[in-house]
Amino acid sequence: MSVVKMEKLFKYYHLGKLEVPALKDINLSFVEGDFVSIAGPSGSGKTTLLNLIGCLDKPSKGKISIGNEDVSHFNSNQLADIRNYNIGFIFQTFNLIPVLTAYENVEFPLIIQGEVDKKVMREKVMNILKEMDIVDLWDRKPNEISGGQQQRVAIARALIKRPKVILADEPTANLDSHIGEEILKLMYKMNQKHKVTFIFSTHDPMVMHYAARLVKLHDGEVVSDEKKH
Amino acid sequence: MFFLLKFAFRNVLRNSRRTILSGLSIMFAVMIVIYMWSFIMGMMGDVVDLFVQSTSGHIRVVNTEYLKREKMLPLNKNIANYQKVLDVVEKTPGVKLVTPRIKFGVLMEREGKNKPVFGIGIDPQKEEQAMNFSKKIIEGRPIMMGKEEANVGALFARDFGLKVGDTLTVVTQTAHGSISAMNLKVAGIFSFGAAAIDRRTFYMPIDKAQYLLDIPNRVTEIFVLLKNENKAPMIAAMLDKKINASGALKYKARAWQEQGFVFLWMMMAKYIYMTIYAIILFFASFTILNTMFMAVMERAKEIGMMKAMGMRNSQVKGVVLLEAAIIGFFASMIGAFLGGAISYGLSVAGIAFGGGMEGVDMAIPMVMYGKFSLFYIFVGFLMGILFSVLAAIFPALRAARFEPAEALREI
Amino acid sequence: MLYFSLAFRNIFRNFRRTFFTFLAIAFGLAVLIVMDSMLQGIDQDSFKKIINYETGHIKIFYKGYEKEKDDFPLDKSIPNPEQIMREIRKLDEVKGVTSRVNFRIMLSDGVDQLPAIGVAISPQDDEKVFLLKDAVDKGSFFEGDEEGILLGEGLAEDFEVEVGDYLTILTRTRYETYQAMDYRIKGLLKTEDPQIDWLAVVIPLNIAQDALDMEGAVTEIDIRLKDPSKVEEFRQKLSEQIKGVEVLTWKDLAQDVLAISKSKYSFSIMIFCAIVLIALIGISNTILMAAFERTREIGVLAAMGMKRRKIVMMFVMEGAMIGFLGSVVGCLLGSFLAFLTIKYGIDYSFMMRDIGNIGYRSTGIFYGMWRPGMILTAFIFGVVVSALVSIYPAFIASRMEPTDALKKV
Repeated sequence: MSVVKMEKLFKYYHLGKLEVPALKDINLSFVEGDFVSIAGPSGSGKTTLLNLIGCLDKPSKGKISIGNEDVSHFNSNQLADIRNYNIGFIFQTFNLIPVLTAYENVEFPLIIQGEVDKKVMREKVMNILKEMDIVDLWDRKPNEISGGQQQRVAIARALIKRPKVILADEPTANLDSHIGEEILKLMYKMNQKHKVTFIFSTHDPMVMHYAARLVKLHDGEVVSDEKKH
Repeated sequence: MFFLLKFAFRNVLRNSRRTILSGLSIMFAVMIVIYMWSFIMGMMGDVVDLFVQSTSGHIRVVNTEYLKREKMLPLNKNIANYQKVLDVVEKTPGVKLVTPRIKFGVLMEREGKNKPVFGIGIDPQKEEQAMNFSKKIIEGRPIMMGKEEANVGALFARDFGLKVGDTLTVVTQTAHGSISAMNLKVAGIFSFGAAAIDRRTFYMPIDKAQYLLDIPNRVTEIFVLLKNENKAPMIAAMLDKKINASGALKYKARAWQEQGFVFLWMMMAKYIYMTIYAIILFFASFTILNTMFMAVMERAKEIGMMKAMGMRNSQVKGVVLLEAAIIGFFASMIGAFLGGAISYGLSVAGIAFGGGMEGVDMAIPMVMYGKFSLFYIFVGFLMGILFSVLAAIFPALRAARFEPAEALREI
Repeated sequence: MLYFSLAFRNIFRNFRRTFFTFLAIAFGLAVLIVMDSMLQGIDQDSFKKIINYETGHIKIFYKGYEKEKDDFPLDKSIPNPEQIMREIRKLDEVKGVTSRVNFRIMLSDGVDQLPAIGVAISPQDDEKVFLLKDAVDKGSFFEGDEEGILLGEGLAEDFEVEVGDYLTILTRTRYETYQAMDYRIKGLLKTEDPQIDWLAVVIPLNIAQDALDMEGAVTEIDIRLKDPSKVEEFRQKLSEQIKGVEVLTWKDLAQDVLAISKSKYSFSIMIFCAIVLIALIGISNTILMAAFERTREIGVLAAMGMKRRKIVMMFVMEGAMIGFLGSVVGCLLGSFLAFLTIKYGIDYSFMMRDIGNIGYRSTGIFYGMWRPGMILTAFIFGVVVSALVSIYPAFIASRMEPTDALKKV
């Protein structure tokens, strides 16, 4: 069962009067449990592709489905809901909300979902904090913890709503290789345990090594799509 | 909801310097608006009260002919058989008190002093009910009906060198043009707190005034106080019909709003000051607009992230407005407190306009007090919050417009 | 000079924000200028009329008259005015001398009466000091030895009389006997000074002196000087020269106007300060915003070696420039509005009469006054204060380390 399916996907950008094709005729499908890495040079359309998968943007032409839903023509509010329930994000610069504690950052997606039962939320948050091994950091603000710890919080935040897909844009770029590997191993563990699809955008060879599938982009087109082992 | 509030709160505290600066301008604006408002209203209230008590009443009934030459206080254009008119007016609903008065001009001379003054013939008991006349007596006692005595203003007494017990000789023209005189014993000295009145007025019993001016059983005006001063025009119109039995408009009831320009000024002043308040608040809220806008721009990525996680536009807008509301709330609260304190001080201490006002004809109190009103404070407080939130609308809209993808793009 | 053009261009970067700050300054200054023009204008107008119709530059009273001048005591009059006036005429500084008798009257048309003031003037000499003769609006001034009165316009309206009608003056003589005199109205006076237009009945001096048993005495001697600015010195000189009299300047006698203008002024200042305060906070805020928006830029400049002081100066100059633009527009706007009030005035005549005497010598139209000094002051104030107020935020902004600034997005 595909988690994300893209059929004949095109995306154009307008640069003044010019129409620049960022993505051309993308046909990709990701299934539950995939641990994919998308690679390509700057300008290859990597970021654009992730934005589309993440429902942060709409395609110019073609069809994209998340789970069973065709989201190609959804409006902003509908897309917001799709993101809220189905998609998690992890970023190079962590992007935690600076005024909230780790606990509150992780809790945030639940609040947006409209969850009000404090007990239910507490249980979920504490569980995921345990899994990420950061329970004792629960009341710290982002500027009080290390990069690696911030990324763990970000992962926890992405996972708490049990999304179908987690998109990770260069998640290890701001971490030293040792910590980076730890984080990667953690994500792999989550992928295996919860069957959450992980899609990475990366240059980091270590990430590409861990990935079970490698999609290469060049000039807005898919040039290779290999499954490893 | 509570979470959003908590979130907004922490955001406000993030950059304290900026928050304080924008809060300051709202605080000052609210403070200034409140105490200015209280002072203006107090001042106008005092002026109106004085005017009503001393001159116009809420309604004044006079002979229609009298109005044409009102300045000269024409005694022969009077209300004949005034008792009947009094009865009619008294029975009218909404009327609190009715009393007859006779007003006449005198060129008062005494021991070389020479000034034009007003004599007012009154019914002391009714005046007592109307405006606590006895409270205004600072020396001696109020006059009594049937006696040849007078109450003179404090400055009147000073100018003419009078003490309680002295004799005031009043020489004037009767309603028929002949000269008439009466010796009045000064029974008491009063003060209304307004130079114009204290300087130029003396009160005498109305029966003696009728005798002095040769207008038996007549008066020049009927002074009416209502339960609700705002109903004056309506009741005056009603009275016009009731007191003119034959249909011809022999007597005219005039509401205080139609007498002189006091009411007009009040309205004018109110509008002018409302405009000034709005302008002050408008400019003050502009700093909040700037602040919020800056805050929003700075947090572009954060907002993008939140939207990526599924936060709706409306929620993003809500947070921005909430932040402005929080700043506005606390700033307005402090401003309201300060404004309230100042207006309280003004209501107790007042500002003395004394010196320069002595020569002035207009009845303005020599010391003017602010009107301390929790209503003004509350409204000022709300206005502060309102303007803060309004100012944040533009930044809120801007925040909602961030595309999550754009905002998250690494530079 | 690069800084200058840089500052100028930077202001327009965020036009919206700059605009409102500049608007606040412009508005505040315009209001200040107009208010000041009106207040000063009203005062000046009053003083002018007091001098031209009531007091001249110097007034001489009999000793003790001034204290009781509101009572118009005829017993405190100057017995041999001719002698004194002759002496005064010899002095260089003097342009003209005349004498008057002022007395309280009741004016009556036989049916009704109003209190008024009798102003007895010398038909030949009065114009040497006062401008009453030019103020005759209807009818004519006194000619030869005729009897008659000139009536203030307001009084004529009240009694509904015209030139040619008769009115009765009721008064008391010097020896406190009653006196009633009928006179024909020769002319109506329109001076726009309420003391005259609403209160004065002008009659020839000799007629008044007869009717009041003055025996040649007068209640005042009035002097107009060639150089009004020397009024104080002249008063000194005269006091030493002539004994037994009080010598007063017009300022001494205009105390009521001075008192009122003081209280009015302080009131308006309150409002002005409120506006200024808000505008100042606005400017400060604007500069702070601008500075934060351009942190990266500041970082780059600092990295390139620009000293902190120069960076601060850059922002202060921007603040000064906003102040400059705001001041220019504010002063222009204010001057224009003031000009309108100077030329056309603001007409309150519909309600002035009802107010009665408020001290200001205006029967209705209030004129502004041209005050270039104030306009200049306001302008400088706007620029300087804007610059000063920008120092603190600029200082804060410049304190950032270049590396931090460059890191920030």
